[in-house]
Order: sequence, then C-alpha cells, then structure tokens
Amino acid sequence: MKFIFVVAVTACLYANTGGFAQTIDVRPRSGDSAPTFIDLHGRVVDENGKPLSGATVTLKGTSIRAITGSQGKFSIRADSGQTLIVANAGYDDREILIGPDNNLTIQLELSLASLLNTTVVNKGYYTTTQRLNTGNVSTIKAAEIEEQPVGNPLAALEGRAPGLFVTQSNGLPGAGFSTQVRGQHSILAGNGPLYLIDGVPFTNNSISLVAISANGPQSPFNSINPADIESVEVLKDADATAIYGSRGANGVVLITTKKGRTGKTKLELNVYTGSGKITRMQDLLNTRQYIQMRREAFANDNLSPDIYSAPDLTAWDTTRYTDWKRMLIGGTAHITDAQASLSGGNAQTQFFLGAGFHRETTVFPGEFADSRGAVHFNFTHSSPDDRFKATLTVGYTTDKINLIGQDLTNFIRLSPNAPALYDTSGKLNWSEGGAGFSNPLAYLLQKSNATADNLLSNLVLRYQLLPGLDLKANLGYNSMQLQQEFIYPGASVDPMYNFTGFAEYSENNFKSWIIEPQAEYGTSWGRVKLELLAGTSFQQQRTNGSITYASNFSSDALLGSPSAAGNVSVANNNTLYRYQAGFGRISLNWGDKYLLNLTGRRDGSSRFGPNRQFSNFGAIGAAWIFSKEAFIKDNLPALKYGKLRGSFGITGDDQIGDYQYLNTYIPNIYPYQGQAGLIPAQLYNPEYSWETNRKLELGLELGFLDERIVATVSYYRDRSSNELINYTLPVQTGFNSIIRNFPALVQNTGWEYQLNTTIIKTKRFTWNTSLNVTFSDNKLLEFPNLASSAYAANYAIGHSLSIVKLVHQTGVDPQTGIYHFTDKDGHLTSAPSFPDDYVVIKDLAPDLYGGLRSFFQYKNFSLSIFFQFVKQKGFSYVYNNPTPGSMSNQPAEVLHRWRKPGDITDIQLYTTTNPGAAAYYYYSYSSDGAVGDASFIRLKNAALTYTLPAEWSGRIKTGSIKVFLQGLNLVTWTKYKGGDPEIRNSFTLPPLKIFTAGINVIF
Amino acid sequence: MKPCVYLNGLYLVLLTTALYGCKKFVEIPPPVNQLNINSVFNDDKTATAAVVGIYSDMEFSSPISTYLTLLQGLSADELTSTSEDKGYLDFAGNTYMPNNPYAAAVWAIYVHIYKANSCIEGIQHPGALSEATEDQLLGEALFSRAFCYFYLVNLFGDVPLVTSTDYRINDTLSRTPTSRVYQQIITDLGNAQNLLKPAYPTEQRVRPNKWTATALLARTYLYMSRWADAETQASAVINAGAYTLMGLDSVFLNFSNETIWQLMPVNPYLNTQEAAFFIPGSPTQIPVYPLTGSLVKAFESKDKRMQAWTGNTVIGSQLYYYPYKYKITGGSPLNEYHIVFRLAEQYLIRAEARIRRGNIAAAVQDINKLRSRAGLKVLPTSLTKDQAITAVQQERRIELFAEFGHRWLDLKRTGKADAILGALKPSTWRAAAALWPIPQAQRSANPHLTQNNGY
Repeated sequence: MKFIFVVAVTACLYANTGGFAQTIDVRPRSGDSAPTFIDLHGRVVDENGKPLSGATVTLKGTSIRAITGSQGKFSIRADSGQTLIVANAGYDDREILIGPDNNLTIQLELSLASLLNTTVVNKGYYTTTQRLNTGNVSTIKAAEIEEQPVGNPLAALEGRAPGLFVTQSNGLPGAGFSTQVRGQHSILAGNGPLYLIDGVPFTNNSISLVAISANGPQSPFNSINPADIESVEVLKDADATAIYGSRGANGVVLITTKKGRTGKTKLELNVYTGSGKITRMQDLLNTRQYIQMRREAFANDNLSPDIYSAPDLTAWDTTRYTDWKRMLIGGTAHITDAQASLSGGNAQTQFFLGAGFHRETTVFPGEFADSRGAVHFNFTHSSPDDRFKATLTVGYTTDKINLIGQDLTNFIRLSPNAPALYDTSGKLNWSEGGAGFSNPLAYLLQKSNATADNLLSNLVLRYQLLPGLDLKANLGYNSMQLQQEFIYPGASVDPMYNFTGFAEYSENNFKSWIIEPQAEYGTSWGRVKLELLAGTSFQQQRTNGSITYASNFSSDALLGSPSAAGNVSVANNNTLYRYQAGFGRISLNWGDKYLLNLTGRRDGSSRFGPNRQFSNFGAIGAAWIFSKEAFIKDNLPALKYGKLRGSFGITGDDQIGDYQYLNTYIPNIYPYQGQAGLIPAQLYNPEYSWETNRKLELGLELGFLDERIVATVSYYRDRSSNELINYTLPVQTGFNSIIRNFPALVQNTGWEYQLNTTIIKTKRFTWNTSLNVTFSDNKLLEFPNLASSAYAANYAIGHSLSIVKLVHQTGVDPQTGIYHFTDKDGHLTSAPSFPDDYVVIKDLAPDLYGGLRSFFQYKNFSLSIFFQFVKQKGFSYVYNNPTPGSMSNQPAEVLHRWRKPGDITDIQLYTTTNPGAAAYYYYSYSSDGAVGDASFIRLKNAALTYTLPAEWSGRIKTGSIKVFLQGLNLVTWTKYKGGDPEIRNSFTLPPLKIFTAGINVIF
Repeated sequence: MKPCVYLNGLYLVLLTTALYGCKKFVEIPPPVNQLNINSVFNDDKTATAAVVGIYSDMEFSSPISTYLTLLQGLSADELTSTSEDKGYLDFAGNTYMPNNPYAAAVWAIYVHIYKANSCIEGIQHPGALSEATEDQLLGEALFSRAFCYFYLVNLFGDVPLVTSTDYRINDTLSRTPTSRVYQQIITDLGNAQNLLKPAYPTEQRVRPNKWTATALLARTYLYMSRWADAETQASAVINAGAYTLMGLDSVFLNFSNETIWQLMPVNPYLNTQEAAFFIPGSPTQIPVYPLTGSLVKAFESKDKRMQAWTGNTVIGSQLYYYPYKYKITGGSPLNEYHIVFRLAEQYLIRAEARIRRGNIAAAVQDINKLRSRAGLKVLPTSLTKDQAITAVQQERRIELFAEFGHRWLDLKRTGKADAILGALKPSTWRAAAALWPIPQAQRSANPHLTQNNGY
C-alpha cells in the first residue's frame, strides 16, 4: 500500500514536469515586450568593488529576474521608472530606480542587520530564518570546519555550539567521538543525537565486530569527509526536535553537504600537510629514580628482592634507561589532506563535484595509517518555471585504517631498565638474566586493519502543484560496509609459551533507506502568514555481518587466511530495524512579530513489542519579536532586535537495540561436538516501550547597535521518564536483568549563552568574536527502590547520572605512611567494604563548557583563534595506577612519597606488598583520592590565512590563491594530574597537537 | 479554499497511509540468527541443539567448568593460592564474605537451571518431536537440572528451588529447605533414568546416558546416607559393563573407558580450565594454585598417582606441587575433555556404602581395585569398620583430588571439616564457613533470600 503511494507520488512528480513548464511561464518572451522597454545591463559588486556572482536582480512587482554571472554582470529588460531589487545572501538588499542610464554598477553593503533575516536555519523538514525561529538551533558553518585540520567531522564540533558536548575517545585515527546534546537523558538507552546527513539518517554507533583495535570501535563518521560539509545544525529544544518524535529526545544533528551554486564554473584546490604529537602525558621516573623506588619499597617491606619478585633489580641492568613514553607514543604523526572541487551552474542547473584524500599516520613506532578517499557529487535541476526541482547528492568514501590491536599507551609504564628490545641476532628479545619481560614491540606485530566503504545518496524531488502548495519527496540510501581483521601471531608471544597465533576476520554491512513524501502549503491573509507541512516517513536499517574466529594455524604466515586455520568458529550479526511515522507542522506568523509553531509526529518502531510500537509526540513553540513593538522602538532605539521565545513538547528515545522483546533462542558461538547449541537469548518481555522526554525551553535573543552585538540566552529543562533500564533480577530467574520501563525520572537543566559581536568593522580591519557558554546540570530525580537495585552502586537520587561513589581517604598516616580511609560512620579503616563505605559522591559530568572564537581580518591576512573550555572533574592518573614501589614505572609525582614517621605528604610509602599495597589498591580504584579537577582551557584551533593580492593571482590566471597555517589542540591549560583532561585516562593515547600548512587555489 | 481541500485530502491520505501501512511495516520477523522459542521445540534437530546448548554453555566460561574444582579445592585442604586476588585468597582461608565475586559466580549456576527448565517446558509442550528424541532430551534436561542443584545445595545449603522459566514468579522465590531440594534431585534423576538409554546419544560420552543419571543418583544417596540405595545405584553403573578402569596415564584422556560423562571443551584456546589454572605458564613461574603440603603428605610413598597426576617445580628454594591430571594448557591438540563422572568414584561410593552396611570385605575389594592401579599394596579384608571408613576417605582424597570438589564435600558430609580444616587453618577457619555465603547482590535483588549463619 505505502509503496504504491510513494511510487504514485514520485511518478506524478516526474510526469508533470514538462507540461507545466510550458504552460505556466510568466517571463516575458521576445516579441512580448512593449516598445518602451530597454535592455538594461549592469554589474553588481561588493563593498570592495569586487564582482558578486549569483546575486539576484528582480524587477519589483514582477517575477522577472536575472542572476549575475561570474563578472557580476546581468542584463534585464525593463522599463524606466520601474525598480530593481538587487539581493545577495549576506548583503543588504538594494532597490534601484531605473533611470535613463542603461549601464549600472550596483554596490551592495555587507549586511549585519540582515544576517538574522537572511541566515537560513535548517530545521530538517522545513527551514526558517534565525529571526523567525521559534526553537533553539545552533549552526556551525563550513568556514569554521575548514579552518580545522581534522579527519573526523565530529572533531570539528568540539566546543562550537552551546549545549553540544563532544569528546574524543583517544588520539588515534578512526577513534570514536561521543556526542551529547544537553546531557545524559537515558540510563540505559542510547544518549547520542539523531544524525541526518542531507535528510538521510546516519549513525554514530560503530558497526565494528572485531573488538580488538587500538583506536577502539571504528567511528562511522570517519567515513565522512569534513570538507564536504556545508553546515551542521544542532536542534535542541522541543520546538526543533519534536517533529523527529521518538528519535528527538537526545537532540538532532543535521549535516548539510556542499551544493552547486549558480555562477561561473569554479575549480577549487585545497592541500595541506602537517604533523602531530600527543598533547600531554605525565613524565615518568627515570631509571635512577625508579631503581631507588624499588629498593626503597623492598626495604619498607622488609623483603629482599629476588629474581621472581624483582627481576628488574636482580636480573636486569639497573643502569639502562629507556624512555618508554617517548619510544612508544612520542613519535610524530603525519597528516596530508588534498581536496579538489568543481562547481557551478546556471539558473536551472547547478552541480558540485568534489574529491578528497586524507591520510594520517600515528605517533606509534612503525607504519600505521588511516587513508581515506572521498568523492562527493551534487546535482540540482529546476524547471524553467521553477515549479519542479530535483536535487541529487551522492557521496562515496573508502577509508582504510591499518593499526595494531593495543594502544601502546598501556605499556609506557614498563620498567625503564627493562631488557633490550632486540637480541643480538635482531629478533625480539624476551628475557635478560633469566627473567622474562613482556616486549612492547611485540604488540606492533598484532595488526588490526579495517576498511570502511560508505555510500550515502539522497534525492529530493519538489513540485509545486498549485501556488503555495508544494509536494516533496526525500529518498535516501546509505550503505556502509566495514571489513576488519585482527592478526595475533605466535611470534608476538614469548616463544617459551609455545603459543600458536589466532586471527579474527569480520565483515559487517549496514544498509538503510528512507522515503519521506511530504506536502507543504503556505498562504497569507494580510499580515498573517500560515505554513502547513504534512508528511510520512518510512525507514529501514538492516545489518548483516559475521565474524570469524580462527586459531590453530600451522604458521604465522597463514594468519591472513581463515582456510588455513585448524579451528574456526563464526558468529553472525543480523538486525533489522523498521521505523514509520506521520508528521506535520502548523506555523502562524503575525506580522513577523508573533510566531506560533506547532509540530507533531506519530511514530512506530520495530524495536518494541507488538502493541507497544506506536506513540505520539509533539511540541508547541512560540516567539514574540518585541523589538517590533512601538514602545520598544521608541524607548530602546539601540535594541534593533529582541525576541522572546519558548517551547514545550514531548520527544522520545528508542535507542534500545533491536529485538530485545523477542522470546528466542540464539546459537552458542562455540559448537559442541560439531553442533551449534542453542541458548535462550533473553527473558521475554514484550511490554516495554518508549522513553519519553519532556522538553521545556525559554529563550531571549537580543541584537544591539545594528545587530553588531547579538546575545542569546536560553534556559532548558528536559525531563526523561518511563526510563528503560536493565531491571535487576536475581540470577535464580536465569538472567541478571530484564529490560523494562521504569518510573525513574532524569532531569537535565541548563543555561546556554551565546554572544556574537562585531567589535571592529572597517574596510581594512575586521574583528569579530563568538562566545558560547553552557552551564549544565544533570539530576536523577526519582528512582523507586534505588537502594535495592543493581544501580545502587552507580546512582544517587538528587545527583547526576555521571557520578562515581567512592570511599573517603583521609590521607597518609604520618606514622605508618599508609593511606587511611573512613567507613560510612566516619571511623578509620584500612579495608573499606563495598558498597556500604562508598559514600563520597563525585560528579564527572561537565559543569560548564563552551568556546570562544575570535576572527581577525587585516587586509589580506585573516586569523581565527578558538579556545575551548570545560569545567569538570575526572579520575586522575591515580585511577588504576599500580602501587608505587611495584614493578611498574610511575609518574614523577610519586617522588613526594612518605619516607619516615612524621612525614606529611599525600603519597604513601613505596611498597610491593600488603598492607601498603592493599591500601593503595583502594586508594587508586575507589577512593576520592583518585578524582581531581580535570577542567581545562585549550587553544583548540588557530588558523592564519594570507590571500595573495588579486594582481598576483590574476597573473597566473587564478581567481584567488590563499596560503594558510592551521593548528589543532595547540596549548592546553589545566591542573589535571594525568594525561589529557579531555580523555581523562592515563592509559589512553591523548589527542594530537597538530600543525599544518596549506594552500587553497580557486580557478 | 480549493488548496485547503487539496491539503486536507492529502493530509488524510498521508495519515491513512501512515497508520495503515505502518502497522505491518514495523512488525518484523525475528533475525535470521535467532529462532522463536516455539519453533525450537517443534523440530528434533533444533530441540537437540537447545539441549546441547546447555552443555556448551556449562563448558564455556561457566562456574561449573571454571570454578567448581578450584574454589572447592581452595576451601578444603587441597589447594592454596599464590595469587594476589583477594577473592581467591578468601577461599583459601575460608574468609569469603557475601561480596566475594567468585561465590557470586558460582551462584550463577542458576543460568544453567533456567536453560534446563526452558528445555523441559519446551519438550513437554505437545509438539512435533519424535518420541525417542523427546525421551532422550527430557532425560538429559532433567539430569542437567539435578546436576546443578546437587552443587548449589551442597555449597550454599538451602537454595530457591526454581522449576519454571517465569521470572515474574521466580524473582521472589525464597530458599527451599535442603531436604526438599534433594527430593527434587532424586525425582529428576529417577525420571531421567527411565527416559535415558544405556547407549550414549552421540560418540565420546559428552552427553549423559542412563548411567550418568545413575552415577549422580548413587552419589546423591551417599550424601543422604541412604547406603543401600547408594550401593544399588553404584553397582548398576559398575555392572553396566560399559566402563573399565584405565591405566593412570589414560584416565583423563578423552577416549578413557573409565569416563561416564565428560564435557567437551568448546573454547578453542583451552582443553580444560583445570590445566590452564594449575599448570604454570613457564618453568620460572610459581604455580598460582599449588597443592597444600597436607595433601602432598597424604600420598603414600610409591603411590604412582603422585607421579602421574601431580607436577612440581622448584622456584627459588621452594618446591611447589600442582595438580597435573590434565596436562594440555592450550587448545591443541584437543585430547583432554572435562571429566565429570568416572568409574573410580562409583567404586568408592559402593565401598563406603558397603562399609556402612557392614560388608567390609566387599568394600575393601572395591578400594583395592584403585590401590592396585596406583601400585600400592592391597588392604586386608580384616579391617575394622573405622579403619575401613578411614581407608575409603583416604582413597577418595587421593583418587579424586582436584576434581569437582569431592574433598570439600566429603569433609562437610562426614563432619570432619571443623577438625581437619580447623587444624590446617587455625586462624581463619570457622564452622559457619562450611556453607558459602549467599551473594550480597542476589540478596539485594531478591529480598526474600536469607543469609547463611555467620555472615
């Protein structure tokens, strides 16, 4: 039924194109014009006199118009006495009364005031302008993305938008990025926003099946070329997200790719190259300090080291020094990026053809790299009468990542006097003086390779059925294919163990399609404008993959071939997700002063059991542009723009995984006597349903001094209820938990501030800034019987979902030199008991975050500087740190340890054994001593660009030549004790500090 | 108003399409790698796969294959721990508390009981299974359930008796008296004996037959001091003609004719978990779970089992012994399966039952079968009853060491735990440690669970 409908609509759109184009053509044709008409020629230029191509010149009161060409020239047939309206995005419109002069040069002024009017805000199914927007949408433009030398587009969003918190999981290429819009809403279900690329749903959930890779699960966004992106819009409040229904609870991120533009065909080349090193990692002890630590530890313990307890002291050279940090993660990564695009078009047809290559190596020793090739194609055609328009966008990328299985940051704590890495014959060395060691270079043999292919295509058809009534269909398809292999050769293990290698191979295919027929209607009665939108959405996502575990190879050389394995087992990954919705919007605009926006959606998702699949969502948004009121104009003339807006609505979250409600058996991956056993997949609960999220928002937007200062303040309160949780069951039921809806209530509140200022704007010098700050607060308001649930150890009522519960440590006992803790009653104890004594609560969610961008332009130089800041706590290096004194290197901080009775310090004595080691265990894993300030301010990005003077570039027949220097993560100010404060883990590779230099040429 | 009419019409079409089409659209079939429970038990092959799933699950990272031997060995006087893991050290010292992670892991034997219950319900549901398959599978599932309860009730005392799959009933069940659990074990095993055939359903004795159920029943009666029943059942196994004692070097190989039931290793990187736990990774490594001095001393001199079934290594000046019944630490060659029941135990069960019934001469003959194999001189039939009891316990200790916790359960059921373990671990042993603690997390999840005394 639905397919027939879609086909019918589509066919109808196609069939009617030609016919209407002939019959309804209002433009004058040769012969029609009255003899008084003159052929008017002109040129449109910017404030510097440079030609503006693509500007629209319209004869006022008619639909007659022309578009300027590459030299800014146009010609139009008009009568003297008529008025021309000249418009170009970002410039003030100008009206010109046609006089006798038939050769005009029209100069447009760069607009400030009109920015809010002309900046189109994409809200997915519909667009509005920043001025008339009733919701909360933040936009990040290509210009801001292009000045960052990043491989993954999500990296370019860090700190750029209020309410959007992005963190990188590690500093390796292909690493994942976690994205949260306005905090964590759900205890169990996914908390990532809905991503749409040109209207096609995309996922940030990795489709990796091979779990062993130094960079963690592959980020699907690593298959998106940042250079293809035109803008990123973050939809946050109910007004903006409720039209996405069950998938809007965590916000919506809309990514729009580059499109062809009317004008001269433009060839653009952009190439940069550079290098990167880790941002920061603590210094570790050198051999002298390390050996002294070890000896002191044995002395403290009254033990004498022997070859078993201390090979580093008894069997190995105690003077050799290897800086493992430098050797394993101290290298330089090389980055090369080249992009080429060809774009242009006329009034009817525009195209964009782009190709890009990006390659990034790692800071590890050895040749490991991520190489990505991308092509991007966009084609838009409109019928001459503009009633039919088709836009096709196709992007394809292939990304090859060659890495290793382990992050070598794990191994920088090796004893600094560990044996030589190679023996005299050049083979990996495994021992010295009869004592073995784990050679870190062996991990370089354990290869983890991935190839990701991504095809993303989208066709939008639009047809104006009647004046004001448009039919539209959005047809999208995405295919991602990820092939991975992990090779663990026997040669990477000490030969003493006589280990035979194993390998894992996987292929996972993710295919999704979306069909969204829609109708739009707009009309007006006097000052009242009405817009209506109705549509439906059909969507399917299918994942088919398998992973093969192979072992028992006769030789390491055959590890690439599963057929050479003596033992093979296979696991499948097959999921199907279907989603269906009807949605609509009613928008009322009273004189651009009072605005009302109603949106709604009815959703059905296959992730829920029969009879629980459908639900309704909706929102009401309203805005009052009070600066239009006479009393404001009279009394506050400086206030050029003032808007008060608010919205309330209900959205949902269905990110729960597929099939969770089924009563099924699944194969046990390891066969028994050649037969794959079947085991029950889960307990049967067909009852669970959506999480619901109620969003409330109030916003105030102000523009002063010709809108050179635009300030926005928003307050939000999101409350998620009907939370899906893994409800704990006693294991006597056969399982530890069951997924069910639970009357827990999670609240996210926050204030978002955005301040855009144009401080100086002259012909020669421009300085503008953009500041965004978010204060966020996450609270678990209700959770019935929390104390007896499995979540008792993780959550507390009235606190954030990101808390950790810890034991309080009272510092080092000056007499014994050992950490002391207090139990729940405040009594000193050396062995706290879980969970009763874990009463100190620390919140690891950010309290405040944001960014400050300054942009300077002086003559041909431009400089962009971006600071990112986060106020948060985090686990310091102490977390999971081996006991100082044990056979593991330590950060230099431990030098301030306790040495003799009476010493007052916060580092306990060196020790290798109980009770000191036990005390340190509690200290490092579960005490408040392991949590500290992890706030930071980072010079995240700087870009210096020099545009060669026009006469130079003209001499070599190009439109423009720019050379630029760009940097990423350049300086970090923090008090964090550990590695990088963004990563907050001392055993994970920090992000890279990157410098690049490049050139941009436009022909 | 014409456009409005159009629009209304269109909106109606859209919504109708949405509501009409979607209902079916979002109802998706189960994934190709999952089977609906109803279809599993409608077909001999898939029903068999479901029962086989119980064994592959028991063998892969299950408390049964992973922890039963180790934790009971540590709890008793068989093994010590040189590991720094406090969870294991607490077993070696009998100082485990309700938050001990390994006690909690053992309690999770309930996941196997769920699977057995799910099979029992599925098989009994009137369906399309052939009668022979139905009997075989039901017998296996009942046996599996009894086998799991045997360990739960012996390790934790009273435990909730769960015989269905409905979590809405099971999640609040309280602990069932031990005697009632034993009654269920005997009922299940009796039914299994009737349903199962003497022949194994497949090769290699990796799925239980009638004699496997009988062997567990013999053991169960022994533990209940039902001596006559124990003797009858053990004799049935011994006289079945299917099993013979093997040479010491072959007992733990997968073709051993002594084996009554063995679990086939499914982890491609392992033969048995025991070999992986006990055999040091390299000649310079201290065994993580060495044998106690007390057990090493208990071997009579010239006992060939010392040579055949233990290993030793000198680290520094210290000599460590470790269990070496299973000898292959990696996954290949796959020659050693996880032996759960073997004939030697049945001889020892019968011997003990015969002594209790006064038939010492016959009992001594049973014991001597194992002593002869071990190269030890045979015992006279003139032993007193007390001497014979001591002899059979000594023989059980040596023959069955580091195998599924025989020693720990023997110490408890014979009332010797306090005397022997109290002497061996004077500072940490306490009588209440004879029952392991009910895991704290389970008591949080089910407030109806009471704790054992002393925790």
